[in-house]
Amino acid sequence: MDYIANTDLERESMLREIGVKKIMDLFHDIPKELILSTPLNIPGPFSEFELLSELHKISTQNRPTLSFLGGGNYNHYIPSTVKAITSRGEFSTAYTPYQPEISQGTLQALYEYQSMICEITGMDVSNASMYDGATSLAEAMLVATKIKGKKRVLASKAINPLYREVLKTYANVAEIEIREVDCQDGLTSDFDTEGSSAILIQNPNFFGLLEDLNTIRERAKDLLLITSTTEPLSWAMLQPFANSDVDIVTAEGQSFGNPISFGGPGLGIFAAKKVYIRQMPGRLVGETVDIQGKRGFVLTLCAREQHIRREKATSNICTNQGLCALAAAVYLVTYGENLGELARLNNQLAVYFSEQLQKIEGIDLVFNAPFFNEFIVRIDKGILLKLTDVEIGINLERYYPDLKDCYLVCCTEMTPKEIIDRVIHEIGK
Amino acid sequence: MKLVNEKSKAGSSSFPIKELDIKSNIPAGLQRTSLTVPTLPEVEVVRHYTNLSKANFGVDNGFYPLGSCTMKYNPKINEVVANRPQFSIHPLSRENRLPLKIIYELEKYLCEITGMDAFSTQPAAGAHGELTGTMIMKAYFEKRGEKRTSVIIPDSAHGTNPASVSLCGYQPVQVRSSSAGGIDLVDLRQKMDKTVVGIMITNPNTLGIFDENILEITQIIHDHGGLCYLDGANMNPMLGIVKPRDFGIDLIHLNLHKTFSTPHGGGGPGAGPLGVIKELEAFLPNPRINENLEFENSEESIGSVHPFCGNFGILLRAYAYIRAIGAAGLRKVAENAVLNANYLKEKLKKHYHLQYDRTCQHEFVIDDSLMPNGVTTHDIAKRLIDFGFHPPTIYFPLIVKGAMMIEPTETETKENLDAFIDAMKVIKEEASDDPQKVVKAPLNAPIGRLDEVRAAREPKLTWCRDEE
Repeated sequence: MDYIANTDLERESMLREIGVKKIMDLFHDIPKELILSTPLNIPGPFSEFELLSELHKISTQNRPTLSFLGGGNYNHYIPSTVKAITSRGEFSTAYTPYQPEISQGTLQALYEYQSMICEITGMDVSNASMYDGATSLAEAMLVATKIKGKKRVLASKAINPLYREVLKTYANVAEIEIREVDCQDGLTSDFDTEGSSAILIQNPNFFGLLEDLNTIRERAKDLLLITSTTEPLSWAMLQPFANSDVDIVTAEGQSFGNPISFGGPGLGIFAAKKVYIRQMPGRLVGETVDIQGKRGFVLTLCAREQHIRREKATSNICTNQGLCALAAAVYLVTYGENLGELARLNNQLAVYFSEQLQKIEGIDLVFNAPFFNEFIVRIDKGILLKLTDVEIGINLERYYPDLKDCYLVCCTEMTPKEIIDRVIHEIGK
Repeated sequence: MKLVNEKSKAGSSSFPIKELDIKSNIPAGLQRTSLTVPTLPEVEVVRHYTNLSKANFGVDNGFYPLGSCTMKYNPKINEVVANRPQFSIHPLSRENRLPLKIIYELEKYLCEITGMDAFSTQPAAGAHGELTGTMIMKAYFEKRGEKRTSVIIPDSAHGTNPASVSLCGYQPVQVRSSSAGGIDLVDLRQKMDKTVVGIMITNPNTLGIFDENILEITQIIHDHGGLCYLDGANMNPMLGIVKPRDFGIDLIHLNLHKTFSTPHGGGGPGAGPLGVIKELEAFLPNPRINENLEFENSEESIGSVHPFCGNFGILLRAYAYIRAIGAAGLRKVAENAVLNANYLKEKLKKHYHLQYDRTCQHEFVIDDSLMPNGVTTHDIAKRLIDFGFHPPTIYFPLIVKGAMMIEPTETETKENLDAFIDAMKVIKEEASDDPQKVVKAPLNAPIGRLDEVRAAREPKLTWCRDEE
């Protein structure tokens, strides 16, 4: 198979027009000794049917499990509207909307996305997306140190440990010191603000628990308060971040209409207070008018960006996750105001599962603070052996050695009560 | 068109949720009292976005010669593959052999195509790959105890290059292009010394020229102990023809959403896997995948730049593409991309000024210097929309005044190229006979020319409730 459109005859006539004999004459600038004389060692070509059969064959190597894994990626139902829209070629095969007159679809959809993120979080501005939750948080850290001028930030240990790895990588080259803040009973404990630009808090935190943002805000008076969320469905149930005077909100938006897909692509959400607009990374879509005065949308404030400012840009980001932001928008509009009920259902299922698990001897709830749809239980090894086809949660010991035999368990609408009851029954056997 | 927020109607969602009779553990004080999300019945959701899509233009709609963006056809089978439910796997699941096998194999293919020894699929886009590559160069020199402070970048480079190196605390140092369009070797020799990390180069460059001095360029860098990073945005014309490693490249990122046919999504998601030579392998992001399909960490790694393995959904599409066309198909891609570009160039240079008049690779740059009546590149771009084409990349590279950078790719038919040539000819004629037609364009687009200055002067970035 190939996707070349021209015939041999056409190729010949084109070569004639160019005035060369054969295609390889067009490669004469390449030093001769560099031209490959043997074909690449790559399998194929394969027909569509062959490709799919092969994939089907290797798929059987993976045993499907019943999964209660969350911790950064969440298995939510995706309404059929989402794929129907995102698979439209007009959206999916377009480039970044540099030519607004033929990109109004992408631009308006992103403007609406920005508006929805602002409405839900209460923040003033949202960009049109970043790579994912982790790099979004890392970029917020970079922004904060530029605004405040101090090369140190505080980061709660209750931030997803994989996100903290990414933070460290970025901090290392930007020569930023990350001071980690300990946790007590699963919540970020007290901290010293001296000499820091910002404090980074995940909410709900990695343990699924709700942080006391108002108290953190009071303690962190002169610091930027930056939040990270991996399960933004929680936003539909919780007080908006603006109410706790958060400066920058970052999140992984995969929960909104994007499949788990082995951890990527995700959707980096980045929203902030108005005063930080000119320091923000990423694309921003703004409203304007055309020559007839008709409303339209364009990429704007580009003077922040690499294609204009080059080394002085606020970030190096170019390609982002436009189609994932579109998926999020369609997802949000499809559920509409019922999103609050969906969030409550997730919370109820987690409460139910945690209560049922605690009744079993050998299983304890580790922390007592309120949680959204994830919680931690300590499970005796013997019990785990019974769960051969179930992945009950993320084993936390590799990230927190103190949390031996502890699992982060996640419930969504995809693990309804009947499934929970079945698992409880299996454990009780 | 009305915004979805303006169409919203409370109580109209087609997606009711059945809550359970279980009391929440979250205190009332932490819960929100109201939630506003635009709400529409399903049919109106679908119509809203379908109508929006009609105001958009993708490769599926027509010719999209956006230079350096490689807007080739995105095969539909890639989507079928990526949407298989078997791939909806949690990244921390113990059942991860299938995705790891695919990533491992894809890394091998990319090594074979570029000549590199190892790849990491973590970078989520090209600029992310550049950043990761710069981090690796930094770690490499730190390990050697060498203090180097700058990176050489040609004046024809993409804007992400200087932005990426400055994020790592390096000073970008610009090297001039020669009158032939390649790198000025005299300038390069003058600027390269032992305080310089190396070069971040694009080859073929953004003029579409394969630098015939490439071996000398990389030699100059290596002679001073420096490293050569290749911005692989322009990999398309080299597939199966030449391996970047063979001309002295030490690190390269590939844009899977350009060369390897994954759709660009109106601005992502893409993928920017990074390849390196053996000497740099230990610095690649953690974790790596070994031949037993297990995760493995290196102590010298720069750390991770993505929580998992990068944009797996995009990796899958590229994997399907490479296997579908195979080695022979890859070479045909390069050959036909270069043939199409040269054909267009030869035809267009009869009407437009071509500053670098020589054989090109995947793209070439013409400009507006021959246009009568003050008609500019901007006007030409807008007028092309009326003819049903997406405009080329404009005003880039910066070294050509009024640049139009044109990359047709291998998937365009001769008929499409001829139609584009005709349109460009007509626009040139209009510019002299009826310039108003060009300056006022587009005339047949969903919307007229937009006021970008106003958008930036009074930024309005969200819809407000009080607009109702």
